[in-house]
Order: sequence, then structure tokens, then C-alpha cells
Amino acid sequence: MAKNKFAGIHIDDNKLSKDVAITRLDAPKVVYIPLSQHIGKHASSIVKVGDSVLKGQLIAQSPNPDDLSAKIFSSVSGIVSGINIKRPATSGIANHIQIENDFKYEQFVLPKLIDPSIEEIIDRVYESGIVGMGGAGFPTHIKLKVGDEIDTLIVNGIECEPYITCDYRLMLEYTQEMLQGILLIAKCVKASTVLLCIKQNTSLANHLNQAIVSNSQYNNIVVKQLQSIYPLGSEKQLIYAATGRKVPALGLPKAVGVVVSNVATSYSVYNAVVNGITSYERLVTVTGRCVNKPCNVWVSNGTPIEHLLDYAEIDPNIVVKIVIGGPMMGTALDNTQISTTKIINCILALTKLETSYSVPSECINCSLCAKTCPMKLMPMFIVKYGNVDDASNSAKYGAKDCIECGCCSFVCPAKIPLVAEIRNAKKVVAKAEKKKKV
Amino acid sequence: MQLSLDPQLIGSSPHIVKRDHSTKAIMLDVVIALIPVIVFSVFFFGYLVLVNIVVCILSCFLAELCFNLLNHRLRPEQASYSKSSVHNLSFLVTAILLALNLPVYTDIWGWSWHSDAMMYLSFDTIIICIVGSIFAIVVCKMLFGGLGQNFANPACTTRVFLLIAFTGSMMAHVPNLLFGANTGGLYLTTGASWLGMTGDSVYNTAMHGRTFWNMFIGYTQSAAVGETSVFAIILGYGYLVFKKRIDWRLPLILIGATAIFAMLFGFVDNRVDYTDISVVFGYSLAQVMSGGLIFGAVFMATDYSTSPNSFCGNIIFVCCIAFFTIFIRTFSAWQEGFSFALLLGNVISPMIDRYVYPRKFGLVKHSSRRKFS
Repeated sequence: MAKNKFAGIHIDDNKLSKDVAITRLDAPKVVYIPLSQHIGKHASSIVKVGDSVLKGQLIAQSPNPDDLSAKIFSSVSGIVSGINIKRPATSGIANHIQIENDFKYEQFVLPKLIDPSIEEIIDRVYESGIVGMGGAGFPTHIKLKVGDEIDTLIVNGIECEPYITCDYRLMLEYTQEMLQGILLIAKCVKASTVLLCIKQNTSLANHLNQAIVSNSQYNNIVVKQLQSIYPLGSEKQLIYAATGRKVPALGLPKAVGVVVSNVATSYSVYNAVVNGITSYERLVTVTGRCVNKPCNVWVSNGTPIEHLLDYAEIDPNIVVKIVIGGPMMGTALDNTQISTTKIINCILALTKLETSYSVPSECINCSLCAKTCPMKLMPMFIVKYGNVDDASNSAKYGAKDCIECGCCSFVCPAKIPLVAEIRNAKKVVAKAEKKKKV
Repeated sequence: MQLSLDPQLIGSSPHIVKRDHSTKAIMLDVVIALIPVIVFSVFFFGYLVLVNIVVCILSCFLAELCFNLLNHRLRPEQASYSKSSVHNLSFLVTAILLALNLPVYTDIWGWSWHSDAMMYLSFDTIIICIVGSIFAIVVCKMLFGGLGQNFANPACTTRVFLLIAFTGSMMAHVPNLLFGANTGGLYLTTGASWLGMTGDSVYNTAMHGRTFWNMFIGYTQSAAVGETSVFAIILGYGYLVFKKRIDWRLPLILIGATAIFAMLFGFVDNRVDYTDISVVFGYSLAQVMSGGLIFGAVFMATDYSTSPNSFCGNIIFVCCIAFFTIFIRTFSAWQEGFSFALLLGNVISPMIDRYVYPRKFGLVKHSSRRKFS
């Protein structure tokens, strides 16, 4: 697919945990489950202090089922010892439910569905609280409710960010389950073609192709290897690279007849529909040059990330930065109390050498940021006009279209934190638009 | 487990940046690309070129540092040696470009140490270098806010400034000495190589294959020191392209556009016999290889802060420069038009940026958008 090229950057892969098989981390004595693990409205607790819950039992949901929200489940069996506990989360302080683990792991399962209809699948996805596991956390049941205009389902197995390997390991070790999940999603969106997109990797492609050939069910799934360039995993860029269709600016993939889903989401859908298991755990990569044992582990939601770092044998002397998510788009943390959620796919402990921070200097107008922007924006002008509150010019050069992939900051020779400044420019533009409406 | 995470380091994403990639590295690469040009000019013009370069570097360095120190009220963040903007090394590029844009020596007041056949040291030239350096750094760069804020290329602006400022006073002694026609004899200095000649000599020299070869290697007797050897400039161009510091297409577009405009204007000015196709091409080729065009196309028209920021804008920018260059060369009293043309291009480049910018990804025309929705 050489013709559907977009600008971007080449980064060292640094997939340290690529060959480490998936393991399971037991839940700690106490878990703190955040009430917001998705985009949209926060769920509200439906349990009281002292209630005993099972593993996988519903503990929080939004009162109105039509809301943009997802259900939240207990990840251990035990006693609820606190609700609405304020604890740090990735975005400030948030409410958590505290559950004491009784280490019995009694499981709550929904009835298994055999040969389900579309409505049944979507309903089950809603009942299991599945959200997009690529990192955005968009509730999947809403994504699956599409009209008839969809003809292609793209399954995103790219993992264009460096370090992260959990999707790669999932594709290797849970191939059949994932493919079944893909079929279920394809059925919901009535897609005739399914493109399973992966990075250029012959051995993985062969592995997937073997699995697909072995069963005639998978006939319409095509494995597509795409040239590795960051940000290939970004929705709009992926659609363009795989199909040649351009999603309209500020539009949704639906507009070009495509639905994009993640491989981890497909696996969750399979588990929910076939096994009746709700979404309370996920695969997390713990990596970085500060950990002695980079690994891919199944982690119960609500586990504080310090347990994961301990499990991966972190060296506290050399760590300077802990990041949730990938190094390009993740969030740096100031403490390790934060709980894992459905959408945290990677925990990175970076050394001083890996991360780098230097004092920003003046822009020299080299226009490298504009050349590498996959959205073809002009970051230096967005920032320049954003900084002086000129909303109309900032929007003209694309403040609203920015996907915050971080390519511009990555290549900037003056080390200007362009992404952070573009976020400010976005606020300026949003404020001006609000003012205009009033 | 207690981790000591420095709150200072909790920055915005991305958390990794490209290694060995900084303003300083870019400037150093340009300096490295200029080394072949320096070597060739020393070979053709002697050690005096090195003297000029060293004087320019020292005075640019001191000018920028002094400006930083004196400007402590407006820019306190730069007002000490350790924090001064000299550390980004942009002064080095300006200084070398300026020295390469000057003649090897000039004779204005006759303050020099020379014998009948040799010029040992020209104090006039040193004064010109110092004046030029201060003008380039202070007036062209620092007064506009420093690196990246200047709208015109400092080296080019200074060349034009010196050209205009010192032609008048020199006219009485040696006509057109600075950037003028070749005068022969002792003061073998700068003319824009072949451009000073007029009339029949144009055909005769231009059509001579040997002349092209000399131009390519740099055996022209008179020129600003940096722009003589096309070969050395191509080496520098290759390095810059290899390191991806400049867009390889732009110098080529500029040179190509100049060739085309030269053909058209040659016709307008009745300089060229259009019945003979080889004369037409020879004329174009000679125009392209003359003067500061190739040197400027590689090292000065690709200057980041004074050129537009989009590729399409840059094409318009270089075509304007090509047009102005040939226009000035054809109709003006100045033989060399590139510096003026580049300056004019610099002036219109912010306007180009205002109107020419890339179409955002997915921003499609209305008709094709309807297809999918």
C-alpha cells in the first residue's frame, strides 16, 4: 500500500516485552476501582459499604441506559469497604470503589449465548461494559449501533507506539478467540470485508493466516500488513492506509463506511458473548528500561500500578518518569497509587536516557513540524496564533483537527512542547466558538 | 515501594524526542556543508579568505553576545554568557555565509599591505567584514527578536547593504570593485563571473565548452569567494540533502526556473540569437552557473526562517526569486541580481504563508464528500 502514504515519523520500536509470554497478576488485598473508565458520563455506584460482591459483578452504572457511558464491574470477590473514595487518577482526583479481596475469586458469569442475533450481541456488549481498548475508551455498544452504510470493518492490531506489545501477544496467544470476536463485531456492523491490520511482520502474518485458513468461517477476514510509520494506529491514518478512504476533517469513520475496532476489544466481545465474562480485567504491558522483567500481564481493574511495577521488578534508583500509555501519547504520573482501568494498556518506567527533556528555545521556522504532521496541519502557526488568543487564525491552520499524536514535538529541533501548546490553542478556539454562539 | 519522581519532569506527551536533533545540530550541519566551499575558495583566492572568515566569525560572535548582554531588560533570559543565544551557533552560519559572499579583498581607502604582485593583508576588507558582521547580526537578526524571527536573510541583506553603501565611494578609484566587473591586474577581485561582460563576448565565452568547465570547477577570476565553484556547492548540497536538512527539490526548482526565465528574457532583450538552439541553451546555462545563484539556491534560499513553511509556498517563493534574478540581471545596471531577488523573495514570504498552506487531511471538496455520506 505504498500509494496511500501520509507523513509521520519513524521511531525505534523498543518492543522489549515482545517475546515475553502472557502471565497473570493476582489481585492485591484491596482494589480501588475507578468509576470512570471510559469516555462519557461517569458511572454511579449501585453497591453500599458492607455489600459482598463476586468477581465480575456489576458495581456501578449510569442510571440512564441511553447515556454515553459503560458499566463497571468488580474485579475480585469480597466486601465493599468504601464507595466514592477520592484517589488520584490519570486526570486529577476521581471517585473509586474500594473492595477488600477475600481471595476466593468466586466468579459471576452471564448466561452463555449460542448463535446470538445482532441485538443480543449489542445488548451483551452493553451488559458487559466493554469499551474501546485501544486507549480511547469509547463505549463499544454505541459504536456497534450503526446503520447499513458500513461495508468494511478494520481491526486495529497496529500498536504503532513504541514499547507496547500487549496487542501483539494477544494476537499470538489468543488467535482463535480474537478471530471469533472479530466475526461477532463484523456481524453487528454488517461489514462484508474485514481487514485485520498489522505492522509489517511476516511471522505474525503467517501465524494469523494459518489460523484463518484453518476455518472456513474466517473467509472474509484479510490480514493486511502495513508499512510501519507512526502514527499508523491512529484511526484516520489507518483507514487511509488500509482502504485509501479519507475520513472528512472533524468527521467520524462512519462517513466513509468504515468501523475501526481494536484486537483487545474483539477478544473482550468474544469473552462476553461466548463465555459470559464481563469486562473487569485487561492485558497490560509493563516495560521500559527501568524494569528488569518487562512483561505482558492480565491485570484486574483497580490494581494500583505500584503492584505492577513491583511485579516487573522496577529499579527505583534509575527511574525518572512513569508513563501510562505509550511514550508518544501517554500521561506522565506523579505517583504510583493510580489504579489500572479498562483502557490502560501500558505502564512505562523510563530512564533518564530514554526520556529527554531540555529547555525549549526559539522556533527557527524550520517547518519540520508541518512536514511530519500526519494531518497536514501547521503546528507552528497554530501555536503562534493560539498563544496570542487569535482563535480564527489558529483554527485556520488546524487547531481543531489535531490528533495530538506528538510527531511535531518529537521532531522539533528547538524542543518546543508543541502538543501541550496546541492543547492550549484548542481551548482558545473552543472558548471563542462558545462566545460566538452566545 | 516509594519512588522519587521529580515533579519537574512530569511534562506533556510525547515523552521521547528525536535524539541528536537540535538547532545546534542543524547549524553545525550547515557549517559542515560549507566546508567544501571554503576549501575551494581558499584554493582559488588564497589565505585571505580564511582571514575574512575568522574576522567575520569573531565579530559576529561578539556582536551577538554584546547584544544579549546589553538587551538584559527586554530579554533577561539571554543576558549572560551561559544563557546567551550564541550557543545555538546560528552566528557561525551567518558569519561564514557573509564572508563567502564578500570579495576576497576590496580597496576603498588603500589601507593594505601589498607588493606589486601580491596582496598580503587588506585592512579595508577587515573593516568591511566587521561592519558587515555587526549589520548582519544586530540589524538583520537581533533587532527582530533573534534567530527565527528575522524576515530577511542576514548574510544576503548585508551583502546588499555593503554593495549599495560602498559602491559610491569606490567608484572614483576602481570602478565596480565590490561585486563589479573584473578589472584585471592587481585588483583581481569580484565580478559576478561572466555577468559583467556584454555584447558579443557573451556568445563567445558562453559558447565555449571550456568556459562552462571553468565555471563548474570555479576558475572564474572574479566573483564573491563562495560562489565560484559549482562543484564545491554541489558537495555541500549533497551533504545537506543526505542529512535531510533541506528539501532537495527546492534548489533544483529554483535553478530550473532561472534557466527557463533566462531563455525568455534573453529573447526579450535580444541578447540571444534564437535561430541557433545551442546558443539558447548555452545562454541559459551560463546564466545559471554565474553569480551567486547556485550558492544562494543551496544555502540561502533554503534558510528556514526567511522562507515560507509549506512546500507549495516554497515553490512560489523560489520561482519569484528566479524571476526577479533574471529580471534584474537583464534590465538593471547591476550585473548580479540574485541578492536583490532573494531579498524581495524574503519580503513576500510571510504573505505566501498567509495564503498558501497545505490542505488538511480529509478536508475534501464538497462534491467528493457527498460520495460517502
